[in-house]
Amino acid sequence: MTTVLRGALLSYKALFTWLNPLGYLSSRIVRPVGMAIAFISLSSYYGAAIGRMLIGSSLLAGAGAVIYGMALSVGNERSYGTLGTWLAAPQNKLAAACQRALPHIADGVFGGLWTYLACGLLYGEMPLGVLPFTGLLTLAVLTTAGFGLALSALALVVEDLFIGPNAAELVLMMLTGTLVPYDRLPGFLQPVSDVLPLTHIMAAVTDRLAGSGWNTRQLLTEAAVGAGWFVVSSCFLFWTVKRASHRTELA
Amino acid sequence: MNATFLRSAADQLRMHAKSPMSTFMAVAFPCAFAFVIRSNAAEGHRSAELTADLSVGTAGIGMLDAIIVMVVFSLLGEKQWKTLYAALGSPGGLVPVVLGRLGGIVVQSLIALPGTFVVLALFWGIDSGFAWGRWLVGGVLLALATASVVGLLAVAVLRFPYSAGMTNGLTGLLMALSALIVPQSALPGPVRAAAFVLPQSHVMAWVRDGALGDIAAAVLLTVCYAVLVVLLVHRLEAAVRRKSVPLEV
Repeated sequence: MTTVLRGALLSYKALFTWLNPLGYLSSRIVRPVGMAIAFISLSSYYGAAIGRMLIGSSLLAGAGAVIYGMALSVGNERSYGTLGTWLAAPQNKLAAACQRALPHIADGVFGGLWTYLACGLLYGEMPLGVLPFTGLLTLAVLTTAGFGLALSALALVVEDLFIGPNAAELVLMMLTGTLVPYDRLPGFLQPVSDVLPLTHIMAAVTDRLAGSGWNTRQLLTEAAVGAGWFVVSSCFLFWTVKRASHRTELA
Repeated sequence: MNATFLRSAADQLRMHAKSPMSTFMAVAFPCAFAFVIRSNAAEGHRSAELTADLSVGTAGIGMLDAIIVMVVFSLLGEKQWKTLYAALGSPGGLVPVVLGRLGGIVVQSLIALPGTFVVLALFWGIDSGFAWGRWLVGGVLLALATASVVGLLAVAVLRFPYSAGMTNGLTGLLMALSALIVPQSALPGPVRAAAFVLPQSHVMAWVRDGALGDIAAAVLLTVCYAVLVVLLVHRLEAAVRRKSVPLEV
């Protein structure tokens, strides 16, 4: 267990330049709050309740930390010139990718909670208590980690490190009901939304904010979506590791 | 001075104008934001078609992203290619190189204006009251204003060692402060006060049927930020010469 945590922290330490913490502060503290302010203001300007947007933006902040972290924790092997060595090592790559995801899951919970509290104070409204929100956020970052595993795998085959996580972030912003209500999505996009992480959490949140109790069916569906992504992403990772291992040029 | 400035601007366009990442940031990224804006606007009393403020605000998000990315890429390139000490030894110093790069980046970022307009107009149609003059003048002014503010980042990139991710927060922060997607009045109190000192918020106020005073404030603030950038580059030159602050990696 200690070895697992040590490896996870080592990977996490390599992501940011810790002697200069600007990278971390800028990416994980300032950016999500700035984006959340823009979107919550948008919601309030057009007369909608800000609660849904506050929760959606905060969940996205947590999810963003996970998808960027998981993509970069594998993709940076290429940037640092260590991809070949890592692929040649006997380490189980799926276990390694999961191990590297651990700090980003914790960081996602921290980032999402920070965004929720900062914006809640700024707008003087907190639609959910801190504990229920933390529970939702934890579920959100875990299901996003299943999706993020696919981005870890993609980083082995796509050389441009940021294309995958940038595109994934846009998809989560537009199609999961976090920033755009599910019923406002075009009909052909709704089935896509159904199989994305965060969608069912936002459905449960919408019900809850409308005065109903927690919709446990939606929350269980969210967990199932995360598990489904984990299975699909694991298969994808096996394929990309095999493909990358057979290539002679990795850099 | 002028020749170096023009050469630096031309180099910027020659090297980065066709960058896929730049085009992605300038056109695709803001169109996704426009989708979010419009979906929320539909709950209010807004036109379902494209209006000038939505078009300029959307383009502004693309400009902001593209300008930040390009400033970092271009100046890190100058550092890696070890061209900065040569520029420092030339009669004009670093100022024409930095301003030339920023000038090229402004021209490059302008693709966001027609790029996002065409995409959004095709999807949603153009509102009958579309203010063409405000769209064009506001869009160009917004690019200049954004570049003058992000010019401060150029000084930071030149002065300090680059740390991965250090510029990521700027997009979110400036997007909120620039009043690109909602009027300044819709921002929470402390953010609204901070937005007042950014030229982009005044450009957007003018685009949203503002008065000439808004555009005058925007131009004045843009000039102030540009002068500040020049002064800071001069100060950096002095620090490099007197204290041997390293410029290149």
